[in-house]
Amino acid sequence: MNNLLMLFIFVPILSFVLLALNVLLAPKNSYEAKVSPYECGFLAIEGQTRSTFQIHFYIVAMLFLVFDLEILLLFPLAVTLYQVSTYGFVIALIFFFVLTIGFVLEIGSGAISLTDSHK
Amino acid sequence: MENILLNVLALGTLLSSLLVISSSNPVIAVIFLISVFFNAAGYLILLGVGFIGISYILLYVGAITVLFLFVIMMINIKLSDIVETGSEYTKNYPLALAIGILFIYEINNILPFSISDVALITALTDFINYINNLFLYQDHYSLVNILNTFNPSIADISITSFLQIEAIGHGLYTYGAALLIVCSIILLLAMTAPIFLSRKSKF
Repeated sequence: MNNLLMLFIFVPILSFVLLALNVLLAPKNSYEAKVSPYECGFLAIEGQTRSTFQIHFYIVAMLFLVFDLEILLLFPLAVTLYQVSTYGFVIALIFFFVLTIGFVLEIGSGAISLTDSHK
Repeated sequence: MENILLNVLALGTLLSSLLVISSSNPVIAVIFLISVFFNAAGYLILLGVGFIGISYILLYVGAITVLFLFVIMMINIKLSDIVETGSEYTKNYPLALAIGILFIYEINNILPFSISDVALITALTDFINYINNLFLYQDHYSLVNILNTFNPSIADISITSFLQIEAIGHGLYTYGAALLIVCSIILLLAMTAPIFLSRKSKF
């Protein structure tokens, strides 16, 4: 019985109590225009609401994944830098440098800019 | 307490994964995929592997689920096209049954299921083991060679105590330095692939 266990028990109970209070006590007057999703005034006709998906969103997410992996591999260095002192730091510098090459390539090619700035 | 929570988390993972593959709305399927990842991460943290559990939440929920959602946004799915009813849905049952039985059979070969006190199920597993030993000669290798870390809890014989992430850091940045550099080169390749695949101008 420590603090983390009480947190794990208390948070679901609190969220369920709040949801139950909303379901039981809130008034519901729903008609069709209120329940259907809002699309800036357009009616939900297929073809009017979807535009072309730009690939830059996916490129941003995938590059975020790669850099997230790099950050994850830097976490153990952050807690053990005193013990692995100079040697470990140089290893981390080489690791970082190789990934900085990729970062420079990404910025220089303009792969994640939504507007065409390199004509 | 931890044993019950392990079983609850394992059950949550299995239920969520079943709901991933059988829900009709793709976004609801991704929500249940998030639930699978959270349950698996909780299971790993309870087992004591805290670093890998937190990395599951960071990477899987934080980045890979976002990729899944982007793919669902890209593919223009109308919900009426993918809802299958009646005989269109049940035609998949024999193949699912075959693959499920094959999977359970293979896992039973490696880690035998142990269900005590239920005579019918133990008779069935004994029969399957007997058939196995007739047709397949196998040396039962044991999976019990688990390294126990020497971690005394009595204060006067413990020299020092490291956290798990500290132990990983010590090993990764000194003895595993070559592996770390190779990993950085792999990540560099993984970075250049989307950039080159999606460029418009030639450089």
